[in-house]
Amino acid sequence: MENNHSEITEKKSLGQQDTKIHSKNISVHYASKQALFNVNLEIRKNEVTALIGPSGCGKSTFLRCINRMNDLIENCSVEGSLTLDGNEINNPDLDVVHLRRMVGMVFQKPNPFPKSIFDNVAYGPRIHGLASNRQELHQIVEQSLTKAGLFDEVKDRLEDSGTGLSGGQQQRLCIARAIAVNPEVILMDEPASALDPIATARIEELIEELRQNYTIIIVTHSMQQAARVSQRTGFFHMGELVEVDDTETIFVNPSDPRTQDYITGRFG
Amino acid sequence: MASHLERELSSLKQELVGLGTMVENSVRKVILAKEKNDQDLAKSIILKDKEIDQLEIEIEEECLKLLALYQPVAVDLRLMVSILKINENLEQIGDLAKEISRRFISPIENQKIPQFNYSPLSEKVQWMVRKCLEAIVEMDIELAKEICRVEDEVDSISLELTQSIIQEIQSHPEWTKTLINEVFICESLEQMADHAKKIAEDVIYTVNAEIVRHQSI
Repeated sequence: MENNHSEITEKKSLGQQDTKIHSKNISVHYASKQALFNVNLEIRKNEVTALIGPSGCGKSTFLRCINRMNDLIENCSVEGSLTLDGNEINNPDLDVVHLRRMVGMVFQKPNPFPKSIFDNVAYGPRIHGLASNRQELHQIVEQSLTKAGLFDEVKDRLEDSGTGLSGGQQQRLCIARAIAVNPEVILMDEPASALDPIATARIEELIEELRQNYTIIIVTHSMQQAARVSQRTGFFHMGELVEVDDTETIFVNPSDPRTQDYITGRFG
Repeated sequence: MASHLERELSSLKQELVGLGTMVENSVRKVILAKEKNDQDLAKSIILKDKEIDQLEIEIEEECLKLLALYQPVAVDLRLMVSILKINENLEQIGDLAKEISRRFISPIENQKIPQFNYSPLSEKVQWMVRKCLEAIVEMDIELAKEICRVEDEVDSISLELTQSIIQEIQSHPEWTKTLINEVFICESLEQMADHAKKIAEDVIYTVNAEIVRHQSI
């Protein structure tokens, strides 16, 4: 039965120079329960890859493999190879703090620190020693808030608490915090699911702008969001990556009937 | 259990087939009216076209509503786009039947012109329109491909017939006014076949996600 899960699902092999992250036969167990089955996926540089699938299908588990967040879960084991720019992420000698600087993450619920707007963004650069003086730190904070499309809205109240912002602003603050440490990859786990349509639209526009400089992987339950923001889409089902292809192909003419059934609302 | 969208699409498809049946009837009647020179039948086709137009609008509005409410993807999206296009093509076949009918009720000088044999052309056109509906109902791509092939035959039959009418015009310029009507009827039947082919192509697209326009099948 498990052999069925080992089918290679990547249809088009990508050029080596395009590949930012390469997953080869990644399997994840939570104790005796297997959550991912031999996932093979290439993530292209400066593209947005959307991961879709029903709850519990393994898409967030896969996302957490990329910055080794699964290390924090007891009895979780990861097998297979996962590389970032050709370097093995699962190497036990890897500096995980450095990995998480390179691979930022934005969560479903905005989670600003109970600190000022400025300190929220300055937190990462401070602990990673990215600024040598106050002026440089200010510069990083301003640039990050600008890239996150938030600076103009908060420039006169940088010392106000981050938790006092609206939901959409808080999420953009979290994005600013993620990019302040100069990552190369941004993981987004349903970043707009707690936001209203206007805040969602701003986040989606931001994702499009950010992909010029970053590689983005977004987990979303919204088909329309996946279709709007991503260039490639992968469909997960029961721990298996069923299909991955150009987003347009997935939403117009998916190859696998399970993908079609899911995106047309026939199961899931 | 079928989803809301599945139920809506199924009912939309039924409406489309209903429109198709009305159009098929108009095509059948206009061919009969031409054969029998039946002006009353021609008038009834013109009246019926208003119903066809109304149903076409209703189907389009329903499509727009479903697009806005459900934002369909994959096979549902392809079906929805095809329904929009098929709807328009059916309505245009209905318009052609109406325009042919108008030629009957226009005052034309009663001239003894030769009778042209429309049967080979009209039988094929009628077959194409009827089979289109079957192809839509069954989503039958083999039938759709056959419809596309028959359209090539219709083209050559229609060309031959038009040429023979033009020859008559050249031999008898005094009949021109009447014979121009015959050319129009011949071209209208050929255009009906064109629309039927487009419908068949949309059926192929719905099933295979392959756009087969402008290529030989």
